[in-house]
Amino acid sequence: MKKIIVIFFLGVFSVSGYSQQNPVDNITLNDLYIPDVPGFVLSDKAPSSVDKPVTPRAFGISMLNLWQGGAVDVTPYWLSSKPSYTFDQWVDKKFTIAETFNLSGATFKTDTTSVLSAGFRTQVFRIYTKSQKNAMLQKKKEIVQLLAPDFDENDSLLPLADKSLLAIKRKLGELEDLKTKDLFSVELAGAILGSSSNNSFKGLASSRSGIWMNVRWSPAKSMMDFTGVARYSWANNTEAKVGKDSSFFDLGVALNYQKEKFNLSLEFVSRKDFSIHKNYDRFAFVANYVLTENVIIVASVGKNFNSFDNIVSAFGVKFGVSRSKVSLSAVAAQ
Amino acid sequence: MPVSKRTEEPKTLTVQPDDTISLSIIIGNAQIGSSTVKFKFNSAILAKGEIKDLVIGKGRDIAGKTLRIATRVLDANTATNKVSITHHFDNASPADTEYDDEIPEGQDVFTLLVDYKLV
Repeated sequence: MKKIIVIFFLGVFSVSGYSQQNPVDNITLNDLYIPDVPGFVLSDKAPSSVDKPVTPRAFGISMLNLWQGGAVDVTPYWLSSKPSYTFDQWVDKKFTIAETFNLSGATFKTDTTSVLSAGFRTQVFRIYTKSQKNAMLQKKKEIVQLLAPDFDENDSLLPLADKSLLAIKRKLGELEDLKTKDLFSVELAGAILGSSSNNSFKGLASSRSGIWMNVRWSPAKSMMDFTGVARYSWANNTEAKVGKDSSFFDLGVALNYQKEKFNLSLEFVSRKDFSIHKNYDRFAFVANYVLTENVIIVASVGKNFNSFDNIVSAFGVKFGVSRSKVSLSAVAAQ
Repeated sequence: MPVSKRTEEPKTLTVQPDDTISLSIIIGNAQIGSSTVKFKFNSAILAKGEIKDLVIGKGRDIAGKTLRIATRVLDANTATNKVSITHHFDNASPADTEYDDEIPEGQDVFTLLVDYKLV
């Protein structure tokens, strides 16, 4: 019986050659990925509840509620039924702008200000390889077999067996996994934040905005994954240092190689600051090796945004710590 | 993985004696569905799985019988929980019957049972 995981802190060895930070240095590749809900990301506030209407009527009600202070997240294409749009057609489709065009928005009111935040995201196009399409259609066939209804001797419909339900759930998970592999895709998103200082939406003025584009290529067989990200962001009177509008263009590229216990990642981020006419860039090479289930060796080397004192290097060991309590009586009983 | 079920009132399908009637079932909204087709009170299954251009028989041979169709749809499209099942008959009237529904929140499979009286 494996009830106990030994907890020993063996020590961490870490060397870091750079630690100086300023606000502009905080940009990482993760910041440039398209947010799940662009309409909420600029507001620096998370709405307490989000309406997700699925009918045109519910969408109308959500829009009315939005002005009273609320949040809405909707994919208009699917507000109406699509009787002739089959799964096979979806697999074959390259341009999925309409199907994936998602709108999100939120309003916040305080005693003195009103804020409206709105955004969109869409997958402009995607290409699956022929073998990946076949793999998805094959997975669909397996689900179809499991779903097929059965009748008893009285012609009554038999319920789906628990075993079949579990198998269908597993196959659906495998299908979702296939949807993310052997894929080339381009995604686009945008968001804008407007605020008014007189607590009325009539005096709304744009104060922040952003546009994102992500390009992804993840071949199924080569263990490689390529991501290209770009973001243009603009803010009004928020750059304390400069005291005027600020705008940035960020560009990032990531190349990942993954094997069973080994992960290599090369990242490059470049930022152009239009307000002070400066360019920065950073690259990093990160390697992870899984020594055991709870021990990972990490090494990274790179160059940061600044033009001096800018070499980043680190070597360390990460330990997993169990939350289970060690029970001596349980050990004695074994 | 809970299942919701809808049973339709029996419908009438008009066929001509010399025509060969065939059936296709279209599962819309990019969902995944599977059907079983049989005549009522007959243990033989005409078809199971995806149904496309399934020959039901000559009008004169099948008139008076009841065709039973059961379809299960899995909510495989994360963007919507809408379900659309279209029964398309060649050489029968009405040619198309569409069943639209929604898989309730927290459920994953929808089942539709329909009987067609062939006259």
